[in-house]
Amino acid sequence: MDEWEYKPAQDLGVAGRERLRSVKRESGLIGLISRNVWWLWVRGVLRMAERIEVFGSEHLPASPPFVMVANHASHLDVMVLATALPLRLRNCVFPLAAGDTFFETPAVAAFAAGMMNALPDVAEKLRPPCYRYVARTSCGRTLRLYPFSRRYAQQDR
Amino acid sequence: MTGKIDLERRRELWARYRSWLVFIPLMVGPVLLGAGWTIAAICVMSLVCYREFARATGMFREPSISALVVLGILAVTFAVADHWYGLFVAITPLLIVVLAAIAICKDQPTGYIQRVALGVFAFLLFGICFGHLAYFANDTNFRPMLVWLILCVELNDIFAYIVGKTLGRTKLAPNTSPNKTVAGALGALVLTTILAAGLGSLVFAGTPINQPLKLITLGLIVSLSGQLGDLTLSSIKRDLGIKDWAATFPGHGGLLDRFNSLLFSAPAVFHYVGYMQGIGLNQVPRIITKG
Repeated sequence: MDEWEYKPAQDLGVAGRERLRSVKRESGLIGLISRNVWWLWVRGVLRMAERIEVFGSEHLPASPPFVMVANHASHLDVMVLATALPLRLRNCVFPLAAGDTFFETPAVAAFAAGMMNALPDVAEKLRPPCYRYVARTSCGRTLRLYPFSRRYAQQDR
Repeated sequence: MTGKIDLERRRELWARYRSWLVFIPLMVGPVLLGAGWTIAAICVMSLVCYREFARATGMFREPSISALVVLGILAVTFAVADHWYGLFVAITPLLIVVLAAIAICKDQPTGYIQRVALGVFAFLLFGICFGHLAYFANDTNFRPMLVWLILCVELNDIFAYIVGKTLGRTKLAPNTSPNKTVAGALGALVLTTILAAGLGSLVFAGTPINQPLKLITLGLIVSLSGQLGDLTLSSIKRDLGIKDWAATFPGHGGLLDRFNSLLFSAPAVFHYVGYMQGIGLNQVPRIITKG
């Protein structure tokens, strides 16, 4: 059970693009609605167009934090893994997105942050993926790490 | 006193000045455009201010209560746009009941009082208090009244700042707002009362309020309620340990930092004017619902 938290948002005082890129970003009602609309739409598209089926979701932990890792590397993994989650967990998803692609322009950054709840991985070439996960958990919330592009696979070899 | 201001203060003043260049058209523009624009603009302002409040207090982590407060603000806006005062009054008790009931659904007694109380408080501040400001738009004389009220309340803040910086020695409430002084508060009270009464004689010309004693009372109400609104929101900020509600406007903080004085002034002036002469009495009620 979540405890009542009478404390300001962690990103209070951060505005504009800086907020979109902030690892401390916390969203409210607008973010919740836009994310659910987005994931609902993606889920529908994946089920109808790609005929994706989900097996074993009952083995997921009841509450975060936990890590989900795809054994494949593409942008589609984020969509597939996120939509496979039950609704109660989907709002805890923080996909890590390449900072130089998804947070370069304000419009794309607003989409990545607002609709997908993505966090920019601006130092991806400098840190191993596990560090990125640790950075997020240290904020007090969590959930997870996506091996997001082929760059990780090349780096990890 | 050398008459010079340091670089940091100068930068702050420039930032405030530039923000005012954005604020003034945003505030006056909808009022000049018409009643519908005014009501819509105040609705947007209420929602933005509520968002800042929710993010500062942690209420945004309670989506069901947050959604109800937003619905309440939208319902108040509808009642104002419809010129349906009965609904405007009825929304408050109804929303409190629904809010208290919805909060039970989470089955989390820990923090129940805080969640519900904060929700009700937020709705009263941003739904009802700002709703009174919007309700002025139902009067045929709303343009001068609203411009007069906004001008007096905003200048009340500026008077307090200038007089406080110039003559202020004794702190007014050092734990609540360290920069406010007794001289600033008294200076603002005197100057705003003179300004509000002077301009009020033009705005309320030919109405029962246009008498010296009533205008001075109105001026005192504007200044006192403005300062109390400011201090109330400062108390909440200190309780939360934050300096500004948001970082949207350079030199000002968030929208709520700018309009906190209007929160108490709007209902106070609305009911004073309403008691003295009525508001929107010459307009057809229930424009949309045709009741």
